[in-house]
Amino acid sequence: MLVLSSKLQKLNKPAFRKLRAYAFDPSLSLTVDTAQVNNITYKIEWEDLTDDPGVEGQSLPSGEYIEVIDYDPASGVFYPPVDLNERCLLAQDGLNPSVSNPQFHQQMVYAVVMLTIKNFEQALGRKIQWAEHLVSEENNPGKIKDSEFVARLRIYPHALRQANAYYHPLKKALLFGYFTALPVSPRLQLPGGIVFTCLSHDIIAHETTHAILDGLHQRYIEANHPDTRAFHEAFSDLVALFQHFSFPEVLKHQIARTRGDLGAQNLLGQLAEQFGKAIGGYGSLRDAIGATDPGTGKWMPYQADPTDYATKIEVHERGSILVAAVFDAFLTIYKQRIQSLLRIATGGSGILGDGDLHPDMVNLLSQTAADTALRILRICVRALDYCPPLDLTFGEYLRAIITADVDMVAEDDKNYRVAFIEAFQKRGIFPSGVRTLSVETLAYEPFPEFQLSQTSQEIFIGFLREFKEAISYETDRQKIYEITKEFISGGKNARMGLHTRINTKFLQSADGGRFAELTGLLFPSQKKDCENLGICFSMNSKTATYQVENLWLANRVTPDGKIVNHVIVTLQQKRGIRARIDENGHFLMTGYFDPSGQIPRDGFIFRGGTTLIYDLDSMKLKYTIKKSINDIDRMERQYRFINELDAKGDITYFKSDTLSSLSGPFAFMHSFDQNKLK
Amino acid sequence: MIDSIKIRMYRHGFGDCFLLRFFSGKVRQCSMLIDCGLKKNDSVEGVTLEDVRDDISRLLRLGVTGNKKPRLDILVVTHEHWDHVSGFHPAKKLFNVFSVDKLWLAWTEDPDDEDAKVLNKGLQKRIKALKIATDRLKKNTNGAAEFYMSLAGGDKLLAIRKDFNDSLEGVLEFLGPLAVTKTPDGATVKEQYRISLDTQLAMDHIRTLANGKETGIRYCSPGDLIEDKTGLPGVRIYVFGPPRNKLLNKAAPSGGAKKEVYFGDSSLAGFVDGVVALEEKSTRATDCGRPFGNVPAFSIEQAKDHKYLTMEKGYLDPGCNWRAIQDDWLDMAGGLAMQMDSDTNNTSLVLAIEMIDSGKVLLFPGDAQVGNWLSWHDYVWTVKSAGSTKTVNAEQLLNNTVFYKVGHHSSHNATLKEKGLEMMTHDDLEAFVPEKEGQYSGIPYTPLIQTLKKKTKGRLIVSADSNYPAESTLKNRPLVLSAKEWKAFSDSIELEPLFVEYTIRG
Repeated sequence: MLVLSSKLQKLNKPAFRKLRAYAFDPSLSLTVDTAQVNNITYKIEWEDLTDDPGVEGQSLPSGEYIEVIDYDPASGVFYPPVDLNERCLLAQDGLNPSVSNPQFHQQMVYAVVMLTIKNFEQALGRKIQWAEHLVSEENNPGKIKDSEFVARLRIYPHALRQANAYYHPLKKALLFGYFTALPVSPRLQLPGGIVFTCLSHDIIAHETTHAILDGLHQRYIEANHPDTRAFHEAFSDLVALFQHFSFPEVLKHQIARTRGDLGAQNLLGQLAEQFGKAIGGYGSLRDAIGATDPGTGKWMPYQADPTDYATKIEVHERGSILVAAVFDAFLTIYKQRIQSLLRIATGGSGILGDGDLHPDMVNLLSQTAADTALRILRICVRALDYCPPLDLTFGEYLRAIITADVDMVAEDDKNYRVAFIEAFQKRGIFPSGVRTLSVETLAYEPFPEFQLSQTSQEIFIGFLREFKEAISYETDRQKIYEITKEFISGGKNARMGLHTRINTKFLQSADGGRFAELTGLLFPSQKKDCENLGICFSMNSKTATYQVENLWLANRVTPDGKIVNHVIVTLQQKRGIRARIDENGHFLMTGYFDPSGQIPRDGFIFRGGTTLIYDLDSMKLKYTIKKSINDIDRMERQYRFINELDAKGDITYFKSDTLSSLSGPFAFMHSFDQNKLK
Repeated sequence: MIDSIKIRMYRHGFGDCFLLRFFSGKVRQCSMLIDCGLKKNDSVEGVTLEDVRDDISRLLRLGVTGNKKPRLDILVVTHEHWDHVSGFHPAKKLFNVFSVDKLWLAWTEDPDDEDAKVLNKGLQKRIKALKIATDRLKKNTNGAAEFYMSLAGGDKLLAIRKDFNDSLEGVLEFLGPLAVTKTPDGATVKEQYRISLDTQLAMDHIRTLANGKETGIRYCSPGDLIEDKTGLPGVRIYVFGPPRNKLLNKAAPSGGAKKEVYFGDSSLAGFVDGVVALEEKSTRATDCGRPFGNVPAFSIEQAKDHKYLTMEKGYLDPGCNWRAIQDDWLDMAGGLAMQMDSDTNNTSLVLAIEMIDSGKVLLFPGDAQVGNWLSWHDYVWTVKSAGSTKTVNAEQLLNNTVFYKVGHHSSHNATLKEKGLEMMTHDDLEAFVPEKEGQYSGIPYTPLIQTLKKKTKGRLIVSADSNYPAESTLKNRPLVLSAKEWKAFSDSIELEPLFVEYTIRG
């Protein structure tokens, strides 16, 4: 019997762990309207949760990616961990949603964080990794010695006593706060009652996205442009929003209430706005889509304004432009997809008869909405692989979306791409250097010709194939991390690493100049030339220092059954620039400095970088997406931005960077505005 | 009939002190002193508060026969911040020989005002929490220097952390030396003091100066119109703020930015409770802000018995200290400090002084911030002129403003744009900024200074900031100013190391 049962266990490991949790946050369980859709069951890909070595048979919400540690320092206590493997909990999909049970809080953060992670992995076609932990030399904190793998993101559901939650990039942790509710909104929150940010789907998904994005593009937390911070915020909101829309149960409820003109599809926008209003609705989501006209009481979507991108500079406002653009594309696509359903349901008139919508129709509509949402979510996530490694602008993100989608779906018969382009264009988001807006001009040029030596290229890509071989069957994230590291900097599996290979195959060859052109970086071979340009010189490589920051395998199956075999390499270089603004208000570059040393008063670090996407099947470089290190316009923009010369900054007694460098850039920005939580 | 006003801004450092003298012809009809304070740990060489006092005293005795003590007609104190009231601290005895006829304070200082009582109630505990949190963060930072040095980039982090703690102390300095004392039972706040011992003492002393009698005190409410046909003929004074309405029943004004409200953010209650509980042993009747009732929980001492916390890479593993979150929650002290600071700034008494014949207006907003500014537009004043009555609103008065005392030393959120500065459209607009460099980061707020320069066509004078020396403002005529305007401007300015004085002729 024993043998049999263990065999059974092996064969029939459950595919999912089902956990009950709020679809929104507890406040929506208090109104009859929304109570019935607020409790849903999350289906999380099964993992064996770690056994607590201390207590027989007890497991923690601690798995492959995350560990929930429920320490509440303000109260000075730990709340014991929930045992999700406990028989009774397994049998009834976990604990019942409850505000007053800290173990349920742990269950909910576990469920939502894991769902978010899995959504990313499905889109990216690989396992996600957290940003690595940097280790300094002994007694020399300024000198980075090594980087360490971070297996699990720490989740602290009750870390703070404030209306705030944030991702802490140094601690690799999500810190959630709780706070006393404002007495002005007794309808949704008990006056004086406590609101937990760790019970809001949106807040959890949003913070998790920050962490995942930081693991992918470490440089995106550097604020060099009005778009950089705004992108982190807006993107996190987008993930939260579309993850929400991917729950058909939630949509069904709203759609079933539709009367009259189904074509005037305001209800999804309205729903999105409601999501934004729920606790923890971040600024960009809340203000992105539309609002109820106080005069008529009718909900109206905001009209896109082509001056938006030029005029809205504040982080959340700017983020809302991106959220609105993507949501707009979503609505266009959804409306198009339900056209035929509408005709069937209304006999071609488009006008519904009296009474309830047919339940089948409700199902079809909500499934279509959920499916569209999931697709949009994947498009948005996949685009991250096609973005430059630093200083991302919204325009470049649009190009990434289009290029990624061209790679994924050859024929755009449903006009997804056009919907995106139109939505961005309406808000004045234009990528620089693109003359006309069309799919062809926006997609990065495939297989650009740089006339690098064919043999060097092939040898180089052959090495990337080896990389693929080495990790494509590896499921252990730590091993993936270590193999990747070896392939970047050398080691027993990879022998010479990517860094050295780039050096020998390209930089030190006759192709050196062309490789510089291709990457937008600078590689003078003399120490003196490097110094004169404000770049560090490496004695080892005999050229300017540069970093290989990321090496990813993107292994995706397209909807028409093709397999995409890409390896993505990102390079980065830094430069010390000195500058000032002259009497006439013009930007003036005055010189350079050694970027590895002290930053002078009039100096700033300027980075260039490039994302190289290699197609392993054709053995060719497919795309280069670069930010040139010689781009003077960008230097000026960054100088003006970091010195807050252009517009209203967030200056108060606390320098805008004080708190942000302390607990990471997200700590300060995320404080919810209590007054907006109505 | 008042036909000219001399406004003297003292240049003693980071703090406000303005003497206004109202003349009809050559006869001084009235004198008014608006605030007298200097930020803690700040000074300008050769310009002490004593010098300031002596100058005021001399001016007040000008034209007065006999060896009488200086008599000030009106003393206006805008709000209880050290950089506005330190000159009145009893220990300094600066103004003890002065006789003060009338004292004008904001309604928030009225001990009998019901709204004011509610407002002041919550303050004490927050002050205490801020002090405790600041002390603790400082202590923990000092104790963790070694830990910081073991982290990658830890040296920078440590510096930033210290900077943050200093900023917190900086805000405490604005409040003045605190009324928090250490006792064996932890920190306590002397019950009778609202913000801090010393600012409170200064405020009390101000009342004593006003002959110690309540009858000489006027508590000004927004919407008030002050007219004094004998003392100030030809002048109307409009009270703009501090606002009343939003305080009690409207916590969330439209637009809802946090700064627009004072003392309204209840979300900090749990934080404040938690911090106070750190120091207070007797935690009677409260749950110290704990979020759950009687759920099972264990303390950090008991945590050592739990293997999932002590195991390698567990929470208590010393190798994983860099991931611990012991103090992160205390960083909210930053938010609390900023909130308390702007709250008190928002209680600023705001006066618009109008010269009736010419319609010219002088605006003294104290340190009023966004919420205070917005509320000005809620009021309409009914005035009698030439036998008929008409109504006046804030916009009209802003349109006619020829002199603006820049709010809050020209910080970023104390000059409202659209409903403030943009409405100051008078051709003769001139602005004074009492401010000194290097006292607070973000002050002065450079973009605001640029805008002010533009709006005043270069007629912007900063009291003590070496980056914007007043002397150079008067050296060259800005191109946008006509020769005639320039002459009118430079003729009406008197500049000394001790003060700068501007004469407005009505």
